Amino acid sequence: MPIIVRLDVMLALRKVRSKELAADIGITEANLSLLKSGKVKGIRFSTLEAICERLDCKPGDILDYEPGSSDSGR
Amino acid sequence: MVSSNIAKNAARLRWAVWIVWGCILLAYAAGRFGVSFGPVQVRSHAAATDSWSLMIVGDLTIALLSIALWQLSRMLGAIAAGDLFSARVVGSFRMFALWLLIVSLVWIGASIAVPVVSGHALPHHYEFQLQLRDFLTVGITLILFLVARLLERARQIDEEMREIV
Repeated sequence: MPIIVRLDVMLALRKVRSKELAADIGITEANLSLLKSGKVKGIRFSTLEAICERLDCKPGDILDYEPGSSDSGR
Repeated sequence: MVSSNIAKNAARLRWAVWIVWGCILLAYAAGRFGVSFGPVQVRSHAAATDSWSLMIVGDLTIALLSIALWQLSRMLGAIAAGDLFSARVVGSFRMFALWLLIVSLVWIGASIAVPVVSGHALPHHYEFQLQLRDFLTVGITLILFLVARLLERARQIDEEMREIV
């Protein structure tokens, strides 16, 4: 899938742990791990909003589009 | 909250199915063997006409209906356990519809075949009774198959929703 999730980069930049973020935005660590690895079919606007609010960033900082990239990690 | 209510209702409905199932079996057994309760005697229509072929059809129908009700109770059990759109629920519902369809087809087939097999048919004269109720049952079971397909689609949507975080 050409949509690349760059959540791990933002987490490193903001020095926030996955566990912390999961607790703050109200999703399970397992789901956050799946999101980080791009192994999900979609992300809710509410989840995206919560992540952006917590990490003080924009959706474009978390999601990227790379045409021709078909490796979805599935 | 909504799914827990559905689970509770499914559990209650499962009990109702078991009770109805038990009552059907008791009533059938009482009619089949001609049980008497004082002045009240229970006799099945097949036993009353002394037609062995009707009795066999009756036994077969009850056996098939029992399988259908068992599948229904399996489905309700899975819903009561919290599975709303699992493969088990959809599969059990489809099997319930299938066995119910077989029951109604057996009953229609028996209505046509029994007069010949039991020797009640006169030469050059063949008479059988078909009731609208039997065809309605077939129609309703066919609709159950459509509901099963809808459930299958709901299961796919549910699965997809689980992959959205």
